[in-house]
Amino acid sequence: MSDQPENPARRKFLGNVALGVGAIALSPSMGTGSVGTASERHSIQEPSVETPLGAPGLPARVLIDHDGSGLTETRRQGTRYTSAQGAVELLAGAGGLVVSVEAPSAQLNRVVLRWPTTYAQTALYLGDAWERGYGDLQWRSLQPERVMPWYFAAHDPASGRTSLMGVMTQPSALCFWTVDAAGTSLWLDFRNGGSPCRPGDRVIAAATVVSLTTGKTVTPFAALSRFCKQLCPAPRLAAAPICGNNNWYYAYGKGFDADAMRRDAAFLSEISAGHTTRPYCVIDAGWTPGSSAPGGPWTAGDAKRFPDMPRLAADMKTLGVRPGIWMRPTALRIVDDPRRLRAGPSQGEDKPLDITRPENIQLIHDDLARVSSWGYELIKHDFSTYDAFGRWGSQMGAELTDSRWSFADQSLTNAEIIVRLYRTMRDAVGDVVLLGCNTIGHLAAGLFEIQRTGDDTSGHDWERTRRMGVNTLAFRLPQHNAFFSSDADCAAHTAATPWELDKQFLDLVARSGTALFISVDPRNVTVEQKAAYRAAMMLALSGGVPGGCEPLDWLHSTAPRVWRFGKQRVTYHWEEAGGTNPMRI
Amino acid sequence: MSDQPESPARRKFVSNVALGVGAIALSPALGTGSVAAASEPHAIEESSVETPLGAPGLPARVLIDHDGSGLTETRRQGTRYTSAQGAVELLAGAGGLVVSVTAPSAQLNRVVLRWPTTYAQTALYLGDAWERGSRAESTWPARETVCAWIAGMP
Repeated sequence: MSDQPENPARRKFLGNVALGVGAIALSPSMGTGSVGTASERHSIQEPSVETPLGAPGLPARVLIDHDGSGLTETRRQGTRYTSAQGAVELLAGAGGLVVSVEAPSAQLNRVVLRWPTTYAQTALYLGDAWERGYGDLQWRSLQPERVMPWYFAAHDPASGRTSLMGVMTQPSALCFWTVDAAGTSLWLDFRNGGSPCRPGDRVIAAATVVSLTTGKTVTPFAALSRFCKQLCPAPRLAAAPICGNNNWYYAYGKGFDADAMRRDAAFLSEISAGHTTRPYCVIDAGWTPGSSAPGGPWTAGDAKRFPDMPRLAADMKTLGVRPGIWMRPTALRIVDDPRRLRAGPSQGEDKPLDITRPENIQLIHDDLARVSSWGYELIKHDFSTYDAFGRWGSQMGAELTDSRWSFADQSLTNAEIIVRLYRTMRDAVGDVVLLGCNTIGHLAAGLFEIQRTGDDTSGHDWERTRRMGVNTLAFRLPQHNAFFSSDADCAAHTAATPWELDKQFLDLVARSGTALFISVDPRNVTVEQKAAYRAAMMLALSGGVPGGCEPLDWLHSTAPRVWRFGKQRVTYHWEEAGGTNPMRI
Repeated sequence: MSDQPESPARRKFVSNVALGVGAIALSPALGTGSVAAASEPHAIEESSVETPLGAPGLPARVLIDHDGSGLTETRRQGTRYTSAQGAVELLAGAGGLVVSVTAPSAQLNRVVLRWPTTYAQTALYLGDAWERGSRAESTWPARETVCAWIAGMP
């Protein structure tokens, strides 16, 4: 690095490093060195060669907001940036630029690192999402206020270059990027609930920032795929593709019982017969009493419809599939003690637990351990982000929750609280596969084997499958097998959705090699459909088409139609007779 | 226009026009003529000259939703597209394509005109807003969105 501490002995962060402090790495072409201390704008020039992963230069500005009253500029001394009540330390290394933050006797709300880095006027930008995508993932032209969680890619079609900046997975702050005409900013959110956290006398290992710039011979898809692999050094990947069926989109939580699940299991076994990798038959919401997405207790199934959950799991195994099950461990249907519930926004009939309370963490651990002890080999846990913050990902923007509320334990950041929750789940279930739905992928990477990356597809409206499923499959495909196995959600089919369209999505997911879950009532499957499901399942269980998958028109569409599978090129036709349905779904 | 009404005298829409029936105006470069009755997608080719305001060809499909239960395809007879309960008449002229709709004894919810016209893969799109723009919606990103009133491609 060109910019070393003015007084490196002033403060040593060895303890932080030992604790796993993150690091920021930017490509030299993105301004390392000369950009590091510059205050004027620097445009990224076209390099002749690709630049490897590296640490960025020090930012030109570091700003802190301690109490929510606004950002104030820090004073720099070497790699240390101080305010009246805290400090940000930036240490560059091979792994990136490590960001450590402390505010021993103060609150901590946000930190912003600001580089004068800008990009070509013709550049297109792509960011990630906080939890699932909502059909809103897209390469866009410069939109200064656009919140790009975790990482972003800037691709210039004119030069063919792609520049990427991001934070390593499992940071201790909720991080997002903005790019405007004057520079690039990394926003680190240290809040607890909707209020500043009170970290006390500790140094927060906030994030590790890295960057990469690729040359014109590398497609933006390949560049982002490579970058995602570098953001997560230790993903928790299953030994074989994770596929199966799920009853949600034909049952929607109503009118099914254990025998219906045995029927689903038998159907799944039949269409996957002969494959050595066995698929999962997932019982979605509705196996306990309550709403369509009930909270706990998770002690037993509905007495009439699911009287013996261990036996059902055993029967599924006998039928030749692996049992899977849905649960919502972070909310209560029956509240035994109101003190268990968190403050802040809560609108549903199922009440969110305060996930900083030790008794609740223990409850979640015990619930997952119990369900796994029944013999279920995949647990799809749902709603934890909504339960934690009271908002869906599409409502979050720069703030994941309403202001002015806190968890019971105010010493932790929201990111730390969520990572601890995920680790609790992981510890509870051993080697059982965890499928995170409505979970934060950048915090789940390395802890969950599989992640739902988009909002629900549908057995009611094809448009929802097109808008959500195709979009997230394309734009989060670079995360597949880099962070976890990517699940773009079920390939559903009912009488309400056209088979001619549904079967194309089924084909896309199967060819892609991502997680394929079908959702169809076996009683209504035609001979032609059964053959299509079998072909898709066998292909998906084998990892999709050899040679990889890439959306070819994703720079210019939110729902790519043209895809490469190995050496094959396939064009899908997602549109209904009147054109794409623009209605709210 | 390449596709004239089979029976222009069949029904007069004078009263409808007086009530403010809309007119659609598209540049001829957007597919007039050959696009009119086609069902497969047609990509707009690059033109070296500007094309003046004109009427588009007839759409490949016209769909009606009378009662909110969903769109159903109409049956075409010349420039008239009929459902069991109503009709859409499309008349092209110098001022654009005039769209008139009747549903004398039924409800009327939506009509969709569908052209197979598509644009360059690299095209950017800009529409208007229903009322005030908000949240940076008035931009050129290729985001899937409703383009109220107008749609433009640079």
